[in-house]
Amino acid sequence: MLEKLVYFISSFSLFFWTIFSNKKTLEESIAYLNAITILLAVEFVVSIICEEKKNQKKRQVIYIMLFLLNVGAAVSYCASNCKVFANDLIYLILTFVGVYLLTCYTDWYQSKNLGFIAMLAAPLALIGALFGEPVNGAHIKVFGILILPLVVLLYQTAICWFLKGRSRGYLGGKVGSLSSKNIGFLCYTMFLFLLIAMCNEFNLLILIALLGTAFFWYKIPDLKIRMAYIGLCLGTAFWACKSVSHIRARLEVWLDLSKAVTDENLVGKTESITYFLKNIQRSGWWGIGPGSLSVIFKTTCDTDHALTRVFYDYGILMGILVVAAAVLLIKWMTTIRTLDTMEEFWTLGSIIVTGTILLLHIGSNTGGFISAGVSLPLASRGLCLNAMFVSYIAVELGFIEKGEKRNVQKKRKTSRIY
Amino acid sequence: MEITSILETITVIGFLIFVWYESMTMQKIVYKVPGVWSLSIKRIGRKKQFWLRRDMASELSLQPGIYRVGTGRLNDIRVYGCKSEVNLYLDINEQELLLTVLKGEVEIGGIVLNADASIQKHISKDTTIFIDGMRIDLKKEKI
Repeated sequence: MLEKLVYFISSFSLFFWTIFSNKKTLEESIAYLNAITILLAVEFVVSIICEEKKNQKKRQVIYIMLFLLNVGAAVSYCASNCKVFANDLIYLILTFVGVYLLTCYTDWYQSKNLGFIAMLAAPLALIGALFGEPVNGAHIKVFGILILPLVVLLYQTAICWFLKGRSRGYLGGKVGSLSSKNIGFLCYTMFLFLLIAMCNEFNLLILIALLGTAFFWYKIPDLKIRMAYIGLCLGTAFWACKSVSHIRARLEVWLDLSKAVTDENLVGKTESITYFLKNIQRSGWWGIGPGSLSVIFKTTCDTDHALTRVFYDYGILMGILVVAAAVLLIKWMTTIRTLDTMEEFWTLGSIIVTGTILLLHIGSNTGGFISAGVSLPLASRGLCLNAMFVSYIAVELGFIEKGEKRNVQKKRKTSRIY
Repeated sequence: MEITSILETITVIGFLIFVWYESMTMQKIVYKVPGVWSLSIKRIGRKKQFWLRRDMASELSLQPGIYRVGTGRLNDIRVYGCKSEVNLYLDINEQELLLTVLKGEVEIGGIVLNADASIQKHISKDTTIFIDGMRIDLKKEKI
């Protein structure tokens, strides 16, 4: 009841605060009102469906998701893009419901055949992106779809093919050593690194490196080989970062922030990284007011720089709350344990991907990390990435539904035996 | 006081309560899946430590997947009470269980497997293994 009431009041006060402080065109205001109405309608439906106490877990994540989307709507309105955001919301809800039902009633993530298709599709998507028009020097789209969420989801689905089934042999004949499937997976991951480096997609490189690392940690029993394997995986990713000019420039600025404004070759490319540091004092705890952000990030102030907008316009307090809500979303993912190999691996992947994207966004907005150009989970405009986050939540909710059906919900007896 | 300041305060306090409430009520839940093999451990003999006088026994239901069983902290299934370090590698699927010794010695039906064994021991029926005085029963569960 409390969360329902608080969410209702806060979302309306955020709406009126944004509207009163920052008057836009009538069309834009109606789009914002539409977005808020859709979100409140979802809240209304959820409060009816998940009213019982046993559904609290499901309700929690949907409320956190709605909270972040609410902030996203406000940020998009300030950037005069709320019409697009409101349209995206409908597709996001459809994606969410579709993935949820699919996970509840099928075992698609357990399918080795689907994993094999995904394994072939991921490099094909990257090759397809190479033929597309680059955006700011990076090939990030294939047939209008962002390659980052596409390849991440395909890679996670492909893991099933490598994780399940028996290996044909082991390196040196020792079972604890590398299996043929592990070697195949390493070669496959390295091939993806090469393609991603050619696409100049730094964020995807990091995500695949971390997902691969998690897989190797899970799959290989021998600690030394495991560490060597992870080292090789991360090392290759780092080498790919260093060898790509687009990423190298950002790395240079991260290591020496003053270069963002003093280096002739870098001016105009990476100076957004210093924006937060220069302007945070003016913003203060309560912000300057919605819509006050300078036009420096004309095209990205509601996507890659959404947090900068929140910090600057809505204040540090609101910025901290948005980050806290995103952290809560990740924390929620960590609280689900299903004890099924593939379900656990999907949960782990969701945590890694959402957590890394959140850290990259915070880092690149506050100068703490290189200017990565990635959205704030659910609070930025962007259908493809938000669809990925929404799918992760839907998949997790599907796992919960399945777990409840199995009717064996109980506190975990940890796998330690006393 | 301006209306925007009031709205600002309501929004921030409201979201603060929301985030606080959600973080306070978030709980960990484990959804178990039916296992295909069960593993039970029983220590044979007396323990030296006075607080471990009773025989210890515990049972786990294992799903298909890979488990590291051993005495170290990083294992999936940690076995307490062994004098020497032992590490096993269990690869479980519906039909059989593949056991590999990574460290130490394991006895299965009078045969001792040690760390140098490069072959996997295929187990397809109920089996008992011994590790350094520990008895581990592996049973196939009926699904």
